[in-house]
Amino acid sequence: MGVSSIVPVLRFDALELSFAHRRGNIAALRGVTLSLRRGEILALVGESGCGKSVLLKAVLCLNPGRAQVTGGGLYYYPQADTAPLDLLKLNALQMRQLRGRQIAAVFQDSELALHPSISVGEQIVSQLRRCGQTDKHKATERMLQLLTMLELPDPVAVAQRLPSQLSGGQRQRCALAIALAGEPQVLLADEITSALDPRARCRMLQLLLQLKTRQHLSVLLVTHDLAAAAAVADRIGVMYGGRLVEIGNAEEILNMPRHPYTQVLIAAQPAAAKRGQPLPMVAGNAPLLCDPPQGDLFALRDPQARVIDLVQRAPFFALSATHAAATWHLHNMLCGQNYPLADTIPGGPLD
Amino acid sequence: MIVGESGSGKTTLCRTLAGLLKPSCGQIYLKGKLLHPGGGHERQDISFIFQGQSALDPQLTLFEVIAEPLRAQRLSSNEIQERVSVVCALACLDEWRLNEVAGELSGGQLQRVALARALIIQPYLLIADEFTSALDVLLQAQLINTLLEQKELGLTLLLVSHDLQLAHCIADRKAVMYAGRIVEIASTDELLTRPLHTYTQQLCAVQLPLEPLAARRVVEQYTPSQVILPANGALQEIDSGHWVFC
Repeated sequence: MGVSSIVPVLRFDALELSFAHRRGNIAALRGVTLSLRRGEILALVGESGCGKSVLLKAVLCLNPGRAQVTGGGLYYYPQADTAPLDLLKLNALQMRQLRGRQIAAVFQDSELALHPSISVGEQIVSQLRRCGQTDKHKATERMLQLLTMLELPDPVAVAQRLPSQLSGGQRQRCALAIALAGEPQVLLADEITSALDPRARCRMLQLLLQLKTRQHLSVLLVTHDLAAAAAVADRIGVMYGGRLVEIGNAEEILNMPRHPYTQVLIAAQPAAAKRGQPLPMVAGNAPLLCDPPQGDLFALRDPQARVIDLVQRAPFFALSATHAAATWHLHNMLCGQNYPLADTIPGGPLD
Repeated sequence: MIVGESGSGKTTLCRTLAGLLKPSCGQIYLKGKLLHPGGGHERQDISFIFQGQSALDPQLTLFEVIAEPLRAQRLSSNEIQERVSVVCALACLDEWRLNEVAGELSGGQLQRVALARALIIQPYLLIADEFTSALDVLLQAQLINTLLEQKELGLTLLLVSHDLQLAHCIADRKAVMYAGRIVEIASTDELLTRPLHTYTQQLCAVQLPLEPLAARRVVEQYTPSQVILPANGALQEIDSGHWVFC
């Protein structure tokens, strides 16, 4: 799947973010380094509370006011060869200029994303006009084009309906049409298939693939649905406890997972389970992120964990040019292999 | 296990079984006895878990929530205490949390409480509607395994889900619902190897395997199509135990 280039369009650089909470600060992101490359679909998977949605929302500054970036950087590269834009330094107006035009987002709940008493066509048109299309007829034409592109049956009729008169899948596609109205370079997709039926989910994933190949859209897809990630993603990043723990090609992650968390996550999928046998499971709950230890939070649930896993943060060991995992299991004293550190390789898994 | 997409009537069926909705016609039988719509005492040995967390009173402590179904049985407080401990262990619920208020819990914890509450009356039948749909896979595995253990001990389960793959690995028999009807019902193996109804076939065809190339192929080759049920059709037994609506 080597179609996507290694040129980043979005870069998270040791990003740290915490939420003020009455019981102390919650460290939602604890140093995430990651790049979304131009023209790729990068899926971030993990359990709820692992920080994947927070990471996505941080890009457009959509987290609630209690959220504060406490360290690291977040950069957007408008063009391949120009200097990056520091997203953390933009003021509210500059951020508004960016939202929807350069970077657009679609969320799980399309019912909340759409205005309930305005027809979806009008909502798409108003977004088109906000993005610079001054001519009303042209905007209407473009709106119908968008609906046709997203393969909604009978676009003219759909455009006149209210969100409540559409099915979940159709509504989600209208929300996507609004996101695409500004012809963004980057699409942030947060659990967009989670609320959909199996058939509508398949349809939505198909559209994502088409958008990637036809519009060269770069997509950051946040999902807990590993099978959906496997189907569309070029690369998959696995998050746990506010950190990225493993990243690689879809094949590498699903067929050769190396971080213990990735391994149990895949084994517990019903699609991977054996019929009639209990699902493979791991005890314990998702971690609380108040005062987390330095090391890997999954060590608290991993029977094979060593002390070092908990007390010291593991670096990313590069398993191949595209695959890296942050676990001490891969240190040469423990596995006998000499894996290089991923952050020393330019153009490596983390770039 | 009942599978089907949203709007197919799965939840309505559950609510009718629970006596929350009155059927316009037709009857429900439990162990050969007719259940009257709305008759609570006949449903004493059925437990229900509904989707969403709103079913639990957010102001009660977990202990009160879990022990509430026992009120009708007039047990001593020692017995109640004992039963609560047993079901907490079953549902992987930490006992020190029992004094917390239900409103403060996360989704996963609340589903554990709902499970503990459902098991406390030692039911004959447990009906769970989209029990694990909102949960992560690791939590889902914990709770589903608890249910499977109970099943080994003799509990009958009626589960509702939109997750066909989950159904494949835990159900003995599956009923597929579409547009308010059961369109196919058969043993899990039979449905897996020989789905006969068009809708079941479509549903099976869009299941994504965990293998990236195979999953990508499923997505790329998907063509949407409408399933229309015959207006005056009925369930017919095609093979022993394999019923299809046609």
